[in-house]
Amino acid sequence: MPDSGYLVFSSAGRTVALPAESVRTIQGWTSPKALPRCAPWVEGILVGQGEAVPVLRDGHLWGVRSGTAEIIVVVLREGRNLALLGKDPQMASSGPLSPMEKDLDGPWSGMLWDSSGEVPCLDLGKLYMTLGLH
Amino acid sequence: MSPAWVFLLVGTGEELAVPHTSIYRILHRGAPEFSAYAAGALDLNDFLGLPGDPSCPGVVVLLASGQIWMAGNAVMQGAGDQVSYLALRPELFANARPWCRGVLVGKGRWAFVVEEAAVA
Repeated sequence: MPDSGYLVFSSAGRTVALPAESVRTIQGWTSPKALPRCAPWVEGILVGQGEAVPVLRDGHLWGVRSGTAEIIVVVLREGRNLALLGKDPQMASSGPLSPMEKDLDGPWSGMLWDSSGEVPCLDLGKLYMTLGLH
Repeated sequence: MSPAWVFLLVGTGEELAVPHTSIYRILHRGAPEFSAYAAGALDLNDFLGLPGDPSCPGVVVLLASGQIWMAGNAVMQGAGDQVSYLALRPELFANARPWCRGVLVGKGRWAFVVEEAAVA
């Protein structure tokens, strides 16, 4: 359980959580630079703090696109940055995660109970693994 | 000392960057050998899946490696044109051969640095 709580935000119309300790920055919308002939999950590239950061394609987690992202959340794991698109960020306090629903496949570590209800929590290790970022 | 770069214009405003030491010759349209080399050149727009810009003059790029490319235009890095190189990980290209090994960023400039061997 992260000591620093969770960041909860909307991604392609659904609410997701991720451990706040993995969040490096939250910034306003900047259009990623498209990278031709890239992997399907790459929305584009951002440059920040002397680094080229890949951006996870909008809606990749759910298989749908929304086109409504307003913020970019840059997460860091094992020295690798990844940018996620979303909107409406807010913090949620720490709490135990409950097991995932069986029908929700993906890089999730469990469900977080938030004021808005049950929210799936991203497991960045699993996400990086599925993207080949390891 | 950082290398001088040659910027190749592709698509409608995208730039690819190649170290100038990798370039053997650049043939502009109208050069005597242009048509002969253009016939066997790899069109970078086709390779990248980008629409061409009809307003670009078109250049043939002869590389020291023996590769021959076609681009919209070619521009040498200016003396005051400071850029920084940022590496890109090959995982961003999944199963495709990574044609890009990094980006050059500077004041208003963004260019993809080409991994020449992967452009074929």
